[in-house]
Amino acid sequence: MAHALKIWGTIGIDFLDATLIVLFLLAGIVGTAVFERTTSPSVAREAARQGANFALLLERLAFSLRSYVGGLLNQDAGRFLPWLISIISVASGIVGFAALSFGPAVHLAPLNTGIIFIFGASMLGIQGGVLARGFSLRSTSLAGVARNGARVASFELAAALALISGVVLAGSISVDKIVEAQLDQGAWFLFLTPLGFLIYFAASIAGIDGAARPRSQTELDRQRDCADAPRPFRWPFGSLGATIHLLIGAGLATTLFLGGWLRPFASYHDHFAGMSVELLDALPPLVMAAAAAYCHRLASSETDRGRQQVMNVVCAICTGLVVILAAALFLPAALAAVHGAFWFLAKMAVYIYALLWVRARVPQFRFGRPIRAAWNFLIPIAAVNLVCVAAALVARERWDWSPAASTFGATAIALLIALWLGLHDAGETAPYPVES
Amino acid sequence: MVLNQIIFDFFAAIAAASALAMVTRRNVLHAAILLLATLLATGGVFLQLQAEYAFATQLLLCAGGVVLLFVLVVMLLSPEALRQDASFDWKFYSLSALALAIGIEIAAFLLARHDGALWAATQGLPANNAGAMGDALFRDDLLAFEFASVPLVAAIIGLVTFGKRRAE
Amino acid sequence: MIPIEHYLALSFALFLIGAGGALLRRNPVIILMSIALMLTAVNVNLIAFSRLWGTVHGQLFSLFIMADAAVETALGLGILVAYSRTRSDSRESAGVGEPTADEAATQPSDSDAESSEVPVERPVL
Repeated sequence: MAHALKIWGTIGIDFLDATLIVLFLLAGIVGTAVFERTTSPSVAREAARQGANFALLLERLAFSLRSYVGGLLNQDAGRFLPWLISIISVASGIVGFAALSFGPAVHLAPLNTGIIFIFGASMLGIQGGVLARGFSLRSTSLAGVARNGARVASFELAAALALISGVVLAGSISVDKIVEAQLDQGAWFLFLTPLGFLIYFAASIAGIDGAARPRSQTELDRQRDCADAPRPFRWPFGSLGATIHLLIGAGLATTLFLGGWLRPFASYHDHFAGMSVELLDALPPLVMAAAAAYCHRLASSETDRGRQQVMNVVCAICTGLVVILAAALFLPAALAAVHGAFWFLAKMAVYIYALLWVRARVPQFRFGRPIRAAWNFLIPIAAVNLVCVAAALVARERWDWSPAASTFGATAIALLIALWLGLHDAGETAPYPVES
Repeated sequence: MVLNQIIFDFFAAIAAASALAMVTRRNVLHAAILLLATLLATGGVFLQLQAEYAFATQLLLCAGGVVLLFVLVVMLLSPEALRQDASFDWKFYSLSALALAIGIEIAAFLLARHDGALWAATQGLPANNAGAMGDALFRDDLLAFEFASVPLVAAIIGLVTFGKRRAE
Repeated sequence: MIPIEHYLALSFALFLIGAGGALLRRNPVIILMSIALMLTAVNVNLIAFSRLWGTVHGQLFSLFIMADAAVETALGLGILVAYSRTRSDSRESAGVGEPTADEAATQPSDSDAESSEVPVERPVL
């Protein structure tokens, strides 16, 4: 009896963890939308024109999520399978988060094959977007949808090769062991394979599938008829599935290249005088305190009552986090987990911000160029980088080179080959053979 | 244990139901999505058997790759190639009824046996599935692993040849 | 634990359904899907037995089967696309007026009441 209770208790805790992950995802979506307002001038202009603010953002997000889930209850029949594919794509994305580690033992599903599983889940998520577009009953050119899907798959291939270079450095595909390897080797893999990280970053940006969820006719009519119906949320990357796919990509990049839940300078253990608290561990509470102070200043300078209340709520959340983070400093058991989660999420936020910043500044690709760029340049470079990283590892272990020397050599060789490829590819060659 | 049984029954039911629905669809895109559901449910069965590497590969390769291929090709083909010529005639229904009858009989026979081999919780199973698979792939069966790349290369060459354009 | 016959029953059921689909359906894409289903059924069988005997070789072999399934699916679909392109080319040159080439073919060509064939345009890669 007690045994059964223990089993169901574990399942209950797992459900709680899953709910926490979904809440984190929601916060991530909101944060991504806020970042997009900050980084992209066109989005900021349009938002200002519509008089959008944080409260409106939350309301639209709630409306879009509700219409996602409630799509089944629409009047028109025959939309079950398209709704199912949307839900599959979103659900697989969320499931991918279950295998990520937010702390030393803070994860929902410790898989041996974590990285492959998360990558597969993100592939499923993005593929759902491609599928959903194919169901649109409008006269969308389906060949264009297929081309979009091919582009996404090509860049996923490049991203996978870049990920493998990080896995080679770690020697394991388990998420926990990869972070431990970064701790043991004393450097984030970003510094050991900078080219790999850049390739993954570029493939993430270029492989964004902007397909929106096809709206049913009743939904469109309802939006057109009632003038004060809330407008749908403007997803940062075109659709909920694509946004979740990018959040998972950020989680993968953080785990493999940015040190996961490790603190920066994780092996620097200087303490405060007289206390057992390490110097750098005081950073998280300080950062959250600064965020809380900023929110409070924004709230006190707001004129609108509604916006002021929203900013007050955000300020209260930040203050609560400050208390939690500071309290964890004095509880060694919870320290690694709580601060690990903070560092993980902070690194994910920085990665997404950088992604949005670069995306806002790089001009949109023309139609045929992305696939050409992927197959003629990015994938060969990713493969070359993989070989160079493996060679650097051999140099480090067999011939006792220092990590800096081996990394520098590997990156130099890969960059030279990249330069040659880029100049060689300056002519417009097609990625498929053309019979003449 | 009961929990294992429940999880297996859940995934097995989804897999069987999706498979059955898949072969009886008229719309090919619907069938592709049901294939996706079947492959995902089968992956769940793999995970329940603690074959984590097979689960991850099933997700990535079969569900993420094969189904994507199907969907892209279905979107690319013109309606003539996909046109059904009366698949659902009396032959179809009678033969599938026969197959169903035989299938139910054999399945009932299988499920009624209780003296089959059982396994202990961790009988000889390596704890680190990925590590054990890595050992098997790169030490014990390296030749088979390398040979598995030959059909892949052949497929790439074949598909590139198929995709060649004629001079218009 | 779960007796092995349950896994065998699932594998058998999937294989039977796949075989039925491959033999009784006439749509080439559905036939290819049924073949992939049969291969997955074999995988379930292999992995169940590999777990029973506590080795990893069954899972290893199932990996190769998955790779082969992907290869054969890709090649089958490639043949299908090439064939349909040849057929539509020859049909066009023979002068049969099929209204597939223009964007105006948005309404499905023959739509029954229940199945909604998604309108596709001529394959242009």
